Amino acid sequence: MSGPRLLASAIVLTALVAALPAAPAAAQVRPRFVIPPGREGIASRMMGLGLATAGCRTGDVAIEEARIVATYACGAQRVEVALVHRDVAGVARTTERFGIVAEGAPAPLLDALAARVRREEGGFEWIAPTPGWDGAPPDIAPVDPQPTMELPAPIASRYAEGLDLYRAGRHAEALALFTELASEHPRGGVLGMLVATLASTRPSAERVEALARAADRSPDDPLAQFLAGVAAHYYAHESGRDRWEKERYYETALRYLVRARPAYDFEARLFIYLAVSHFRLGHQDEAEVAIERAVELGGDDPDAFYCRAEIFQRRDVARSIADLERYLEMTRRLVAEGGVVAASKQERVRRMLEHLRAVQRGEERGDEIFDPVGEGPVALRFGQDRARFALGALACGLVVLVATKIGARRRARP
Amino acid sequence: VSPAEEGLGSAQALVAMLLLGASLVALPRALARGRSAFGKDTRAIVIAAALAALVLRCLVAPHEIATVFIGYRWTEQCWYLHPIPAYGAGAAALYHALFALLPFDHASILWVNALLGALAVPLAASLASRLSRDPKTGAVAAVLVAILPIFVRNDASDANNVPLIAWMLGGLVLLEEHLDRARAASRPRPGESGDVAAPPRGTRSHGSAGSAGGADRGERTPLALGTALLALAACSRPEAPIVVAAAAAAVVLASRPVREPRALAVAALCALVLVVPHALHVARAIGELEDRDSLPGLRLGLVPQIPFLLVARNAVLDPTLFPIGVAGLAALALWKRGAGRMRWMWLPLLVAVVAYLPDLDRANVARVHVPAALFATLLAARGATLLWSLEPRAAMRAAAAGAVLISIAPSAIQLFRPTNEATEESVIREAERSLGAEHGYTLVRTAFADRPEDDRHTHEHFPDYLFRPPAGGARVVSVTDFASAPDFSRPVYFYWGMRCHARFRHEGTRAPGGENLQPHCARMRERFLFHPVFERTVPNRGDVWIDYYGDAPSLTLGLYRIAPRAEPPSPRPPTAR
Repeated sequence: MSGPRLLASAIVLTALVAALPAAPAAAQVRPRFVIPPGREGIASRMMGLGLATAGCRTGDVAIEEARIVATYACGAQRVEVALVHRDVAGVARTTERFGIVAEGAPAPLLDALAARVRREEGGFEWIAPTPGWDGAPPDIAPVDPQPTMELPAPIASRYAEGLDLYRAGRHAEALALFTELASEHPRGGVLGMLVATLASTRPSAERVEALARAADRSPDDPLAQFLAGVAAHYYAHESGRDRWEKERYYETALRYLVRARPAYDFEARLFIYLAVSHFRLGHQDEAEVAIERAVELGGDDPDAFYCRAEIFQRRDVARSIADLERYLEMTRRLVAEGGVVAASKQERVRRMLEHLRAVQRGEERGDEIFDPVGEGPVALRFGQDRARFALGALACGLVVLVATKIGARRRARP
Repeated sequence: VSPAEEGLGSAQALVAMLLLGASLVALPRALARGRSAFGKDTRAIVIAAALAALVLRCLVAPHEIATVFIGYRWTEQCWYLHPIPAYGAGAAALYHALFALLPFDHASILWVNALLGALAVPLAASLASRLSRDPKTGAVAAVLVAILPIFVRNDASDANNVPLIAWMLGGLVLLEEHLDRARAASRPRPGESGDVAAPPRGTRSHGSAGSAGGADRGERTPLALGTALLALAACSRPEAPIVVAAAAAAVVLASRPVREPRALAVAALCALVLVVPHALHVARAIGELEDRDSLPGLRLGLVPQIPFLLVARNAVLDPTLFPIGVAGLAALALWKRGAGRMRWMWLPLLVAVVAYLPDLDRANVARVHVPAALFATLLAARGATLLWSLEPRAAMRAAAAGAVLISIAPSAIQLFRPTNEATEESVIREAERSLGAEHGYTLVRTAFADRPEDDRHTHEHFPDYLFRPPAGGARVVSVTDFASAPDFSRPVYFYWGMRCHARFRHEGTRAPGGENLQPHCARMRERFLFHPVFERTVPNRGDVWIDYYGDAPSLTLGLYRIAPRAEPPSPRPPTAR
């Protein structure tokens, strides 16, 4: 084999080796388009929630990552119908934006459904999945159904209205309501609800930039600073694609949260985000001071303990384990009282707990479990691990060296 | 960053990693090739020159950021690699991989460059010897590359063209080896006739060294490895693809008649494919720079100015950057027919000057024209040996050598002039030492955000990584951020550096009088109490490379612990610190 061929083989081989660790991630088929947050209303209308469609009664309507699924009772028959992106293969009907997937559904139901979808779909846009999105719902704060203090009557009724919107998944509307409410009355858990709804909208980089610009324009408005800080924090946590981007956004979060602190020094959530942003930037001492203040102010907020567990994971693993156990206990109670807690987060906390117990027993190394870097849309990602990159280069060098030696030996043969 | 751009970045990183791996084999091979390029006497000169280069770059020359503070940002970009820096992934990938072993500090990059710069000396010598077929030319090239101030300063700096030059020279040496082997393999055996160039005097060609001319037929390892090195070099800076391509073309033209053109075409195609992600990346970066009006030179109006700029903005023709005696020797080599194959070096020399015209100012000409200076030096080495052979009188030879050596002095004086940027580096290091043991504090330093809208060209890069975790215990913030919500719950320090006295001015604008104190630093002074941790009054070196500073004879810099001011600001001027 000649030199170039050997080199080409070596390059291909090394590329394959380098790609191997990423293969499982690449195997997960990510949809090209997903349903944006806050589309519950339009989904219910398209599926005819609470209505009869061609003689079939609509049952549940659920939004998944890339489809809207509804069940219909057509006499004794139960059928499941899903709305997917119109480019998905195997659909029974298509509209301008959707394809209808249905097995065994009567044709009149499909026709009626298609007609209704065509009427409603004008206000719907598919979006590309956020880089790093693993399909799990955002890491939202647990929501207590009760305000943390007695609110004046008109505020309390709007709070309840906002909570209903939040529970119905109408996050954009809830956010607008809680933002308005917080500007008048930030105490009593209103800021906590504002955070929960803001996190549920999964702020994009553009949204963070817009909020930051708004905050810069109104340096005396603590609410604008708070919103920009929280949005930057959630963007870093949920969507930061590498350590650099995460650090950049945690720095941004700190910038605005620090500005909001004098006005909102009663709010545990502010100290939670300050603490976690500090911790993820390596400021251990500042993080510890801030999280203790958060626990002091918000002892009934499970997230305060969750975040304290993160901050002490390397300094005091036993304390971290105790805090995670407390988090689980508190969220169980909260759910029993009608609160909203992301089930995926509870499941994750259980896994974290197992991991930390294994670390405590000395069976595992302490990994980055609270704020991992997303895999992103490209399977092969470098730049996050210098050692891996250097080893990759050394492996390439070794392959090239072996290839040249083999080539030289073959040429030397008589 | 769109998924497409992310994919492009990953492709660049992957290509750079593969090529970096190949370079680990290719570069030693290129160096080994040098062994057969010299006789005993000339080899000793080359080894001595390489050792002198090592000493000059590692022990004598000051290790300094030569990019007017941009090296601080460059270090951070190389540490993370993603997103790929605007320059490309080649050199960044090298530093990134080495950061697995070396500390996160720009000093790491300066040391790597110093070593790579010394490594370039035998490679340049080998190339000159092979192309000129004269080992003496190679030896002279080794000496010149080792000692000329323009190379010494560049190699002891953060310049990202240092790895580029080492890889390019290695690639050219291997390309020449392939061409030499192919030619030797096609040399007619006894009884045959053909048009074949003679092997270099006092050296061995692979054909003559082998047992038979045909033994090397099909040996394409040097070509493959050379292609990898050239592609890696091409991915190291935006303009590198055309400079490297011109250099490779010059070597091919110098080695005519070319045997096995098909293999050469395949290699060129492979290199092209490998450079495609870099080219796309550069095109995008150029678009972004144009959007920000940061690339004013890239316009059609530049074309008529090219002849003027080739003279006015050309480090090779500037006696304060490149010795006029060496430039004269290069001109002699081009003028005299005896230059032979070396004359083709004019091609990369010209391309390497023209390529930088769209983005060239006084601040970077001494750095970005180093590749051009290198090709001029190779020509000059040939010019020197020609002069030696033309002039038999020892006195005249000594006079010529003396004149060349004397002509080095102006460039040594200019290139190693003390600068305010170097002073800034020493003050930053002192601050680092002063705060080394401290944890949980805030370090306030100036940043781009502190500058007004009409002042976006003053480089505010700062080595935050020396103070932030994991290296230090600071939270580093800008003046604007700190002043908007001063937090004194933990110690707060303010770094008063050179940038407090710097504001970019276009060339030809008059320097402001006095200290040129910037408003954001003045505001800090007015608003807070300053307790010096250390304070240094340093001479103001003025605008050596870039127009930033005022005309005050000295400036006071330092690190201050700051505290809230309980009283109205003192009317004392800032100089009274």
